[in-house]
Amino acid sequence: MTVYAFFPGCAYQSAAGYRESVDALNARLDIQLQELDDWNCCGATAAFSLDEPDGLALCGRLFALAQKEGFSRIVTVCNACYTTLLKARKRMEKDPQKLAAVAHTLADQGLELADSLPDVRHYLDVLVADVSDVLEKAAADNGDTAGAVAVYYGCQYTRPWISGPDAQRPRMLERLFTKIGIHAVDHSAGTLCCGASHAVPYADACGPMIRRIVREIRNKGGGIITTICPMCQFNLDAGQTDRQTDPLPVTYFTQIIGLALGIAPKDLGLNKLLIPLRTEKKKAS
Amino acid sequence: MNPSDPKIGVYVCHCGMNIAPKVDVEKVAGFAGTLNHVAVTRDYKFMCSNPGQEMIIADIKNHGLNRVVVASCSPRMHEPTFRKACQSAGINPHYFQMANIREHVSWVTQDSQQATIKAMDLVKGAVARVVNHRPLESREVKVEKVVLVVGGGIAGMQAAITAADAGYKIYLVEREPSIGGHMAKFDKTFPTLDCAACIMTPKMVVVDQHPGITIYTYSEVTGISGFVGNYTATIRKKPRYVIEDRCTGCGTCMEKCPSRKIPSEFNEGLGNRTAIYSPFPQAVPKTPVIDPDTCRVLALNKRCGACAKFCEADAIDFDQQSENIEISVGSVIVATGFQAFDPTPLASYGYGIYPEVYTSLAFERLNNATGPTAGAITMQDGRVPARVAIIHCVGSRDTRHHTYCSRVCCMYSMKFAHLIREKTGAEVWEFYIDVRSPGKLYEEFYNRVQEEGVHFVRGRVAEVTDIAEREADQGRLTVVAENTLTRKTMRLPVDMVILSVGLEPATGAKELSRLLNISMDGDGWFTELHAKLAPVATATGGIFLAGCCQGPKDIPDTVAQASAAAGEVIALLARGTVTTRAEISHIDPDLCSGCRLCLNTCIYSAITFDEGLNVAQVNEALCQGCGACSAICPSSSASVDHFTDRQVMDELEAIL
Repeated sequence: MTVYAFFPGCAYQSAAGYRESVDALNARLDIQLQELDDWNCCGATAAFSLDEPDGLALCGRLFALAQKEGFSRIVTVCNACYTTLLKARKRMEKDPQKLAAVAHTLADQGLELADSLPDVRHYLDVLVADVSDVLEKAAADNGDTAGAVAVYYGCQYTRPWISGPDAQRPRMLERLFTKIGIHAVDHSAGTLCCGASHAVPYADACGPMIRRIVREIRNKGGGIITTICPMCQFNLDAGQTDRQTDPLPVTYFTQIIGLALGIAPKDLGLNKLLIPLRTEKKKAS
Repeated sequence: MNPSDPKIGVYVCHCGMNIAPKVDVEKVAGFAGTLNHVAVTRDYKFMCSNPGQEMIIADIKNHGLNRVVVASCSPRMHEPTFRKACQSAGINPHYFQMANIREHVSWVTQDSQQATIKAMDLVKGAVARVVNHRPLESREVKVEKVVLVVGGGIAGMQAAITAADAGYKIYLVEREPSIGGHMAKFDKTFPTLDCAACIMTPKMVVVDQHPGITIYTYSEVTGISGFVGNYTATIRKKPRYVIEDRCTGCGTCMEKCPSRKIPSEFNEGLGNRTAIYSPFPQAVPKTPVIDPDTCRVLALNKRCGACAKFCEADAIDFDQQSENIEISVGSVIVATGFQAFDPTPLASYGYGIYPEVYTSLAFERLNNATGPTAGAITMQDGRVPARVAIIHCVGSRDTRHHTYCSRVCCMYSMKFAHLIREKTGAEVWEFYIDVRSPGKLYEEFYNRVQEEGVHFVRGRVAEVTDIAEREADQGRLTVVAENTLTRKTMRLPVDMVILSVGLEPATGAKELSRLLNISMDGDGWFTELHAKLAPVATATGGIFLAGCCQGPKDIPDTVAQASAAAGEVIALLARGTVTTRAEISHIDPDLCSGCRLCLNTCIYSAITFDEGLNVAQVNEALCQGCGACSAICPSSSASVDHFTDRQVMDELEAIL
């Protein structure tokens, strides 16, 4: 069994079926995510843009909690948490004075921050890099298929963390899907912005951005959208409800993989989607 | 005058505003006057000027000086100047020592007092050292009036022709099957729009037919040894599988070859070639090559041999092996050129994803009369584009890739714009950061294309996508950019996108730099000896640079630099001898233990071993005074003139 420190982030609990599907995959693939005790908000984009020392301290506290429990890796399930933690890690590694300042702040709370900061990983990285063999074996050929799936990565997962073609046009999840018998469609909207936290207060500006993503996926033959981040999922799911006559269901990648492994839709929280997903049994061949 | 009784003159240079404002030069000169053996001290505005040198000469004559110290700049700058002054006053040029109080002191020290102290220390060291100097004489060495030119593009060809016309023997080595380089791929050249082939092909013919030039194509330089005037180079000729002496270049083999679907490198993958091929119709030599990776006989071990069956000259030889050729040359001109930046990592521009996104080199072929469309600017489906976007600075001026400006892209982009307008009437949109047109008639060309109705948008393109905003634009590409002059973002539907990719050093440049012992800058371009005053020389004697291997440049600059490199070579070898360093190594036979460590250390093969006496000996004609033997010698029997232990230790002791 592989054990990771787990930072769920604020949106995870209320995300439509994310927790259920991650739990289901963990059980099936023998992954243990140990939730950090007494975790705090990562600060998201707001903290850093207003006050860098506060932003660093919020992330630094999470690193210290992981170190306290002896973990060298933190897993997140949200693009914003992922990019915020990576940003904090990079800045503290680059500038030891910043790390020392955060350590000093945390010392007041009785927490210790060591120099070797933990690795930050997305749950997608775990599936792609660490357990892909297990996953391939577990992919039962009688699992449910949802049809042509289009991956929507969002803007923060690859950039600025990866260089090369995968930064602008990532394909790691498509490659994994293909290996386990899920039909992935190729399209050009994988890293377009969905509006992120502006989608609610500036709905008029964000509506066209969301519709552009959905339209592109539909044009390229995608029947289902799958996401790797609660914010993306919510924006694309809720953003289609009142405007589209034939909206595309918006899932989590863990739900799509769960179906391929033969896990029942209700155990994957699929009933929580605003736009319902209809699944069909794969024909035995 | 008895040189063992030193009488030293010390001269402290102000170097205009370079030294004097930081270093108290009068104080340094005064301090020098207190040192042993110092008879004359002066400070002066510019020691390197004529009055400065004459001051030294007059003091030597009038005061009987027999040693000179100048505290000024780096010896790389003016040591030869002052040595010459000493010599013309009648003392051995090696009775001179320089203290570098500019690069080592005034330019790099904040505090004025500290700078003055440091300058005094360096002067003290120089005085202590010069006391121990010994007179040395340089030697004349015979040279080979033969030049090796590495690279057969326009730079290499120009240099070869110029030096060959002066009566030198030239070996021109090119790794591709034909000479011609990148220029052979172009159709028109900016800003005059003359046809590249019309000015290029005659030069290729001259190179081919020149009695003084031997061409080795499909060949690479694999080794070089020796020193200025006397290099030995090894050239590896890859097997062509076609016997050059027999082949008539009729082309029947290419017509008969059944492997026809191999993407043509010369056409940037836009067209196909056969397994036996000549890259383009005007190739020099005409002899084709067989690509061993795609030939049915060589790669697949099949019984084909169509080329051999139809060859009337019986020139096909599937058993041909690579061949090593050794040549003696006096000088080397490096003209290895560039390669175009591969835009694949910039996936947001869609190269390799959308078929209508071209690199500039691919577009050159598309537009070329001998290219895959015979010069018609059409899309992959044969339609003529209605709107074309050209994106500047792809891979250049980009901290993620190359920070430098590639210098030629603005101009060739505008050439493309003109040709597209002329041939198709299509709308052309140039997306630029800054338009750089600083050449003769370049700005005029910029004005001309603006008048021809080409649109210029100042803004780096964010994305090229196939996501259309309107139903009518489905199937076209959309360029997403911010016009930074109007501060508006735009989404422009287009039919074709050309990426103006930058230039980067050719593959293999690093290996060649190691082979020739020449240096590269951080971007991988070969470094010239001096940016302004020695722009085609390298730090290695007898090795010169021409063309883009030294940095991105256009055709006029390349040809000018190639001519300059040839001129330098002609000047270097014209007298038939070169003056070598006076400072060479000696091995004291009484101290030598015969361990032979120095034999392998010497890269000039200047040390031999006398079995009878059991000692190593230096061949003075070959020694370059590098000091490697002196450093490795465990018994301190090897020493280099002008860097004896006594000289170096006394200098250090005085400084410390």
